[in-house]
Formats: sequence, C-alpha cells, structure tokens
Amino acid sequence: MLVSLKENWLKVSLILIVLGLVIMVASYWASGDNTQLFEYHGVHDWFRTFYL
Amino acid sequence: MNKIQFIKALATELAQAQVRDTANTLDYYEELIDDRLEDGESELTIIASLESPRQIAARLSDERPIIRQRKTAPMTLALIIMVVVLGSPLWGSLLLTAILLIAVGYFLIWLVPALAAIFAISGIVGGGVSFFLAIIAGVRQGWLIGSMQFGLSIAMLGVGLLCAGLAWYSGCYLVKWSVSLTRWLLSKFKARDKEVA
Repeated sequence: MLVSLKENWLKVSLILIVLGLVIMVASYWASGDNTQLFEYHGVHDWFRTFYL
Repeated sequence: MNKIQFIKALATELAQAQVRDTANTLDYYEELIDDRLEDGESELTIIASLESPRQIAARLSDERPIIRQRKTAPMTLALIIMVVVLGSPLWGSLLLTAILLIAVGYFLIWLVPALAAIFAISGIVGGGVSFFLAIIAGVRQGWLIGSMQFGLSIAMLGVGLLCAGLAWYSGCYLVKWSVSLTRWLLSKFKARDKEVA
C-alpha cells in the first residue's frame, strides 16, 4: 500500500481533495444552503484558549 | 570494470604519478559517471569511453607545471599584516555581510520544503484526528455536520499528502542544489596553482 501511495501520491492527494470538497458541498446542499447550521454555537472564549 | 573499481584504480594511479589535486580529479570523474548514469548509459559503456586511469594520471602529471614560489620578504609580510589588521573594520563588516547574505539565501531556499513539511504534518495529523471526530460529531450533532466534518477531514488529508510530496521532492532537489552551491562557493576559496617566474 505504501509503495503504491509513494508512486501515486499526487493522484491520491488530488482525488482526496476533490472527494472532500464534493462531500462538503453535498452536505451544504443537503442542509438547504443553511450556513447557520455549520456555524459555531458554543460558549468557549477562543481568546482564552491558551491562557489559564 | 565498474565505477568503484575505476575510481579506486584512478586514486592509485594519481597517487603514484604524484598528481597534487587528487580529490578534485576523483570528484570530477565520479560526478561525470553519475551524470551519464542518470542519462541512462550503463557503467561499462561509460568507463569504456573514458581514458584508462593510467592515461588520466599520466596526462594530469604532464599538465602540472613546476611551481617555484618566491619567498615573501619579512618587511612586506609585516606591511601586509599591518594593512590587514588596520583595515579589519572595513573588510570585517563586508565579510560579515557576505556571510549573513549567504546564510539568508540558504534559509530562504529551505523555507519552501520546511513550510511544506509543516503543512503536511498538520494536514495529515489534523485530517486523521478530524476523520474520527466526524463520527462523534455525526452522532451528537446530526449527520449533516458529521458529513461536513468528514469531507473536511478527507480534504485535509489530501492537502497534507500533497504537501508531503512537495516537501520530499523539493527537499531532495535542494539537498543536491545546496551541495553543488557549497562546492562552488568553496572552490572560490581554494588556492590555485600558478607559475611564478
């Protein structure tokens, strides 16, 4: 598997990128173009992520 | 005779013929053979087309002129040392600038594979973790969010793999390039033989 990955890394990576984008777009369409669904709704203060 | 045997025989012949620039000559023939091997020629064909080690050694020992160096006078030597010491604020700063420029040049060209490696590691690790987290997100937040996360993880893995390939091949190329550039720079500081009347 590693040998074939080494030989076809460019094809595999491009296929993965395209496949990922297709799944993301399909998921977005399936939600009825609802951007709010994928927005962050938590209460975590990201500015304090690396502070105590 | 293969490449290693040829280089060994050449080293022996050069030593016997008392050729002074042995290391450079060996490097030259090694690179010549490697270049032609990369072009697809076989070792036997390449070595057959070259002169024999003995012929090379004989030719190079004939080419070497007899060098007679005149000794520098003590006063001239003292004067040179004085000028070098007094001029050090000028040439020292220029030398430091040149060294820093070369170092920055090396750093800049190595920035490309370094950045690609960072993107590769983050893409592959982030994509891998995200791939498993997509299942949890799908269970907890609904399949739409899960599939969005899944798509994102696959795209991240793809970008990571692409950057890994880029880092590897650009790194390999730059190793060769850096070695040849360093050799070229060092060759500029090597003493060359000259005939002195």
